[in-house]
Amino acid sequence: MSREFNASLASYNKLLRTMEKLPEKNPVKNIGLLSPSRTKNATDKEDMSQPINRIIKHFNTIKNKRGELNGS
Amino acid sequence: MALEDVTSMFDAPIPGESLTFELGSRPWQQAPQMSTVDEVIEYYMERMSTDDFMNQLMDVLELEVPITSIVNTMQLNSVMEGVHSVDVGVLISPLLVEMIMYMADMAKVDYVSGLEKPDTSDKLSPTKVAKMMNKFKQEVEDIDIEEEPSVETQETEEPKGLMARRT
Repeated sequence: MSREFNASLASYNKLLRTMEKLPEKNPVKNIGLLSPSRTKNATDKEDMSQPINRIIKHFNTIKNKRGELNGS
Repeated sequence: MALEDVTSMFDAPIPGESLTFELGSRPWQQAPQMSTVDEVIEYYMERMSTDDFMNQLMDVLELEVPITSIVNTMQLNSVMEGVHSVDVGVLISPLLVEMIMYMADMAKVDYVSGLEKPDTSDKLSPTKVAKMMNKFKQEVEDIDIEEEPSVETQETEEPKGLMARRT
């Protein structure tokens, strides 16, 4: 049982690897009143059109909730 | 060859049996009912939020069935029923694994995630220990316990003869 290929396990590990490769969001450098509060990311909308990115978003939400529950 | 082996051999599907059905007569040969990831997530979340599912899931988790195996079975079953396609199933698998782990944490049930590396040490699994304990108990019950002869205290007779030494 344990030696057979498990698609869910492979998929989970693959998702974690994908998340590690994702570029981190750059912090906003400007602090002035008129400076944009958030850097414009032109690829934001494109990202959400990809199913994997939507999955990552849901996945992160649940993972954070689980982390809160376990106190980590 | 034992008789059991022969019967199991004939239990297998005949090669090409899958081609004897009309194309499209099986659910997985039709277009899936749900095609987007969001629809499928909603479908699973609805199913998983029922009390029946929750109770059954916790029972299975307590039996130390790995979560990845449960998720794999769930999504393959849905593919078989024609709910979604294989690729969508594989995509949402990690989400289901995480969701089940969250539910188990909430219910404070110990679980085997199936994400750990296989333990190659000589550590015995709880199942093996339980089996061995049962075997040991059976062996102990089978042994006829012979009654130990009670140690009789020998009464020392007091010498009564004329030449007997007085204590």
